[in-house]
Amino acid sequence: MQKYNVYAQKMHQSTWLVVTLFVLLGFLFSNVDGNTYFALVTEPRTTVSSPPVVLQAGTADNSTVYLNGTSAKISAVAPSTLTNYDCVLKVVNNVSDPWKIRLKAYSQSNIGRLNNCTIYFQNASDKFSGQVYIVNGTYTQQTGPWYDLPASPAERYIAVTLQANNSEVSYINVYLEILIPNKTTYARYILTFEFT
Amino acid sequence: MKKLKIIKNIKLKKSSKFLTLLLTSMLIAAANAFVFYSLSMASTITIETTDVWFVKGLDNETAGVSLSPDKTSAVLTDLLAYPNASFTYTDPLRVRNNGSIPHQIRLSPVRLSGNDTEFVYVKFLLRNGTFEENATLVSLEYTCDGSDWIVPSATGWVEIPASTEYAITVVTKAKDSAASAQVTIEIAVDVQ
Repeated sequence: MQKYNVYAQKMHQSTWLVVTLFVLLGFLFSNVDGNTYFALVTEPRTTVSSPPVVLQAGTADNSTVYLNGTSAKISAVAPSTLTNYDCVLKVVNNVSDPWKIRLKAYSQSNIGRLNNCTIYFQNASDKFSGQVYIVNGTYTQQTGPWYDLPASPAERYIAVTLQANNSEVSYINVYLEILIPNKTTYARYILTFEFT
Repeated sequence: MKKLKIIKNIKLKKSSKFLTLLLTSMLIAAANAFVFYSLSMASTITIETTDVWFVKGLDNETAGVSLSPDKTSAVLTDLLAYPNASFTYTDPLRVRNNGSIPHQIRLSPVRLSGNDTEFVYVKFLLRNGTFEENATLVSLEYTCDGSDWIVPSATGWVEIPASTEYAITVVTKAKDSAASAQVTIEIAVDVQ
């Protein structure tokens, strides 16, 4: 009987020893595993500012410029004969820094009816710069080349040439991208073209 | 009866000894664990900081980037946000793995202070590619609902190969009626 109890006690001790070892190892692994990285810290400060480049209504009297001049809607009739709108929107530089600008079409609806649609930049002194082209209902160019917007006072015009094969409505959503020259910092303004 | 008493005494003595042993073991275990943790952390920091650090990107001047002497922290003071327009600093700051082995990195939020009504979002993108490419690996996007900021969770881990630089792109946007306002968002690039 005594012998049996001593054996049982030894077994009991061994079990506890194993459990203790597991607890010990658990402590070690959790501490090592949870702390194997370090952090680089960055602290960006962002300030709201007036836009340096703003949109203004064009001479064609068919655009709506929204608050702060950073987005606009342009409406134009797309007839069955090729029609040109010389200035549907103005892009005006208000600061002494020059910029580069371009248009990028990013979404659309019902453009299949547009036989011809060209959205382009121009002004009195610069040549035409084609930005977005649609021929027979399909894009042939969605992103235009960079175009210079000189330091203030300076403005460039957005113009449109249109021809459609019916009287439905088409929408083209376009980013006006405004880039700091020789950098990769740029703003995006949203322009919505509605062609009826 | 006498035998039983002896056995009980042995049991009690052994139990108390074992209990003492167990408590002592746990004490030593805890102490050892802490010592090991501290040594491990110190060792890790010493090795890792020589491998991964910040470097200035192409847009560092427009973003007002300044780095600490050891290049493990960066402050961007000149970020702007325009009303109802996104403004993207594609390459103000880069994370460089200067070592000979890959590391895992992620972006995680730390602290935010300042205005919480005039912004739409401030996004931090970890990118590998030019600004014309869709090269975002992970993003940490803070959005503002007009009264509060919604702080994101840390991104997943991304491997940065040896001798490689990834750009941290910052994209900002303010409300269409936004007036003068400022927000400071501190984020961490965790490295392992």
